[in-house]
Amino acid sequence: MMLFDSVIAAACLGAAAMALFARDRIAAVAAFLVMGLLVALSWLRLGAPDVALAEAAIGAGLTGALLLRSARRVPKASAKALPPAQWLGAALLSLAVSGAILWTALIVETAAIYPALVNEALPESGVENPVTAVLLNFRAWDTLLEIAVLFAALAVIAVVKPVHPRIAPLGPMMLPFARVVLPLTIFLAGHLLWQGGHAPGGAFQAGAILAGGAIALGLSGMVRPIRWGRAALAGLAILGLGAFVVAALAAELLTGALLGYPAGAAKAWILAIESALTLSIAATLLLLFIGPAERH
Amino acid sequence: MTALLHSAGLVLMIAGTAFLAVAALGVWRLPDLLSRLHVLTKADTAGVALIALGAACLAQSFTATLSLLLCTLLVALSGATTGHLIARDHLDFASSQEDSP
Amino acid sequence: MSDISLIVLLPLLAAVLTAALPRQAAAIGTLATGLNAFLAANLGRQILHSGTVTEAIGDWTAPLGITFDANGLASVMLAMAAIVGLAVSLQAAAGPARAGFWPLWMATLGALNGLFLSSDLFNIYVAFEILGLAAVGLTALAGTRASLRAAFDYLTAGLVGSLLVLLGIALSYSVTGRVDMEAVAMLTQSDTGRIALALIAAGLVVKAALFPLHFWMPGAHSSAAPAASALLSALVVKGALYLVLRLSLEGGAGTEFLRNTLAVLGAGGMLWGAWNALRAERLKLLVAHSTVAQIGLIALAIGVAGNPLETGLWQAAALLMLSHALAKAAMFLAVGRIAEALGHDRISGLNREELRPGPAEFAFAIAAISLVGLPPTAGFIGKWFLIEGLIDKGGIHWIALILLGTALSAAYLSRVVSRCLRGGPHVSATARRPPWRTGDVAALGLATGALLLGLAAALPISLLETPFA
Repeated sequence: MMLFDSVIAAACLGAAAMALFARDRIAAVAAFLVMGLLVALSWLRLGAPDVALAEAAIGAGLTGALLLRSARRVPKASAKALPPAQWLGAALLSLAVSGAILWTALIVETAAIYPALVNEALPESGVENPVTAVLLNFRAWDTLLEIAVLFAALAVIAVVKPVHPRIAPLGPMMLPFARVVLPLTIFLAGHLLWQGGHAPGGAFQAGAILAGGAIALGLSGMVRPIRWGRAALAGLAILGLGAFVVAALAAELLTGALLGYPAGAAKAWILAIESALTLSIAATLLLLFIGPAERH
Repeated sequence: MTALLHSAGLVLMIAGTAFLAVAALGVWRLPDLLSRLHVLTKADTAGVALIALGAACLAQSFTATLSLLLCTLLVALSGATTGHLIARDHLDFASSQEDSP
Repeated sequence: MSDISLIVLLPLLAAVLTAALPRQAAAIGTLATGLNAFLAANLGRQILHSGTVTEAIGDWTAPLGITFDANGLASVMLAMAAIVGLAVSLQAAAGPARAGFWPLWMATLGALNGLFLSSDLFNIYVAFEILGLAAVGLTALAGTRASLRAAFDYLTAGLVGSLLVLLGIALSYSVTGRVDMEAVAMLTQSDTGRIALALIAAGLVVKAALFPLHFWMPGAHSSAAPAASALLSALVVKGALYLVLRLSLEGGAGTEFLRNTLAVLGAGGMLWGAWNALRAERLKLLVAHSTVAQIGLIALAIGVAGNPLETGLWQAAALLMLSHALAKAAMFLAVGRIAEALGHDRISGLNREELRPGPAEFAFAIAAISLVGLPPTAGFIGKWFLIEGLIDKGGIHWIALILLGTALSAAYLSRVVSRCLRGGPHVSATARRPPWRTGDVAALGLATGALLLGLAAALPISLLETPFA
């Protein structure tokens, strides 16, 4: 497997270099997409299937769609070379960072205390997947703040109001494609959401896949992003943070501890919160793709 | 039986890999976009389908086979659609070049 | 329902509501800031009464879960955010409605409250992410080309800072196996741990805009809208400074290496910021460069304080943070009003004949007095505390530097104040006075607060003296 790992690592570096140095913007995005998939594969090899799923769905899939969409819109800049000082600075910083990481990996002996703690408390968490237990129970406050990060990102985009022209339909083949893909993504998202309780999966991955299906439908030209639809999407997007905050308060009212789920009902609470988050994450990602408001 | 399935799976997977290798070779060697697309969409789909079939033979479980089937279906579907989209864009671009010299 | 839970969740709930109901956003936001101030005061009272309040989120104690620690320092910081927040909300609610301000500001407040209370490095990092993104939005709010450019610089600098902090936390997790604050003391035991701490601190230096990594900040803070500038300069950079102070406190004697570096960087920032403020041609830019200088002073105060477990000198840094927040927010709000009345913010154009100085100029003058550190302002108490402690410790060279920085700040601020106060033959007999606006009330209120805080400094000091954890 050593050979396999080295090939993946080298391919990641190669794809990153291609993304950096490609002459054509589209080619750069394509290389970035390839890198995302390779990175997802690396996560799998590192024993983190949850991260791999999220990387493939968000890092490679949706980010790629966003980048491709923007690459065509942004006017071609005159090929202005970066000043040598900035090149040098960036190069030094990345060398220092990768050196630090390499050094950590080689020298530092990881103190494996946390996994044992998680395993010990896992039966009380309501779920069997340790990642979900950490994200939605032991450290649910982190996840709540992360949803607030998504909220802040949307709020920033609403302020900056990037020019998002109407999405042109992509021709007759898209509709049959979307007809098959959309039900499949809904099914898959539900599956991932449910599976998150005991195996890799969860709200972020499910939301990203749902958003992907919705984008396919949007590109088929069947649904025009009409005004109320956008408002409903925005409402759905901010619903995630609202629902999470209300759930945190409600849990405190019931048990006296912030985000402390009632005994025995933890699984139901986690699933309810994750369902709201899935919809909200999907709506947020979709809004990032189509833009929050049309500017004329 | 198991041994037979195992070797069949291996053979199928090797065949699939060969298809993918040929597809890659075609993208590299063929002269223009349309012919490259031609080799890519077909050989790719066949390659993935063969590998999935081989993996199903090796895995010998119902749920795994189901997911592999789903994978094959999605790859075939999206491969064909993207191939069509790229070709369409290419033709649009070519005709617009002719219209406005 | 505990005060701690409410104070961290209420602003986030308000953020959702202001985004969902943009027409009522100003009312909801102002109400939320009012409630937040009430909760902060209540929490402070509890801490004065019974010491540090601890709350384990979801009943999962650290290191498995995340704990909130409401200690004296956190309470002073919460009060700082609450007071500045009240004034800014008042100004924004009365001013022209800018779509998008309220959700960003409420998210900022929620992130700050969470940051001050949390006792978990990774959780604080996530709070920084909200803070950084919201700050980018607040910078871009002005909608001008310059502000968009500044917002982009802010984003880049913030990402570099975040990357360093995250790397440091990851390294500290592999060394100690935990990410709660207890890890800091363990980190000081080994070389690897100290490198992790240095990485976190380096990221915080970028985020706090401490010299020499402040390059992105004057542009951002001077091109944003007044209410946004006040928030960015008074509160957002304080988040990073607070964590630096917290690391210094948790590390005890082991973080001396960080403090030594901080002292040097702080001294550099104090002088460099003052020099640039002396040369600035625009009022907003002057105030922004003055922030660089004041952040330098605060970093210097953290740096020279020595082992916080032995001396209480670090309290001077907390007091300086508090007084700077009040004075600087007052100053940015006042500058916003001055620029609005004049139509520009060139310093040379402050010598005017048709418009007499109004309440905004008065507020600026009081805030300037507090920033320079004349008695009886809060700035004076902070500097007094610091210099007194340094005399006991024998750090004469640091005292000389602080006095030099003070003299320079008096010099650059008097460039503005002297022009505002000029009357007599320079003002024509027909000159009119600018009318009162809510923005004036907010600025004047904050400036008066900075003044009065000096008289009532016993309150924050007794809060800071409550035993730590």
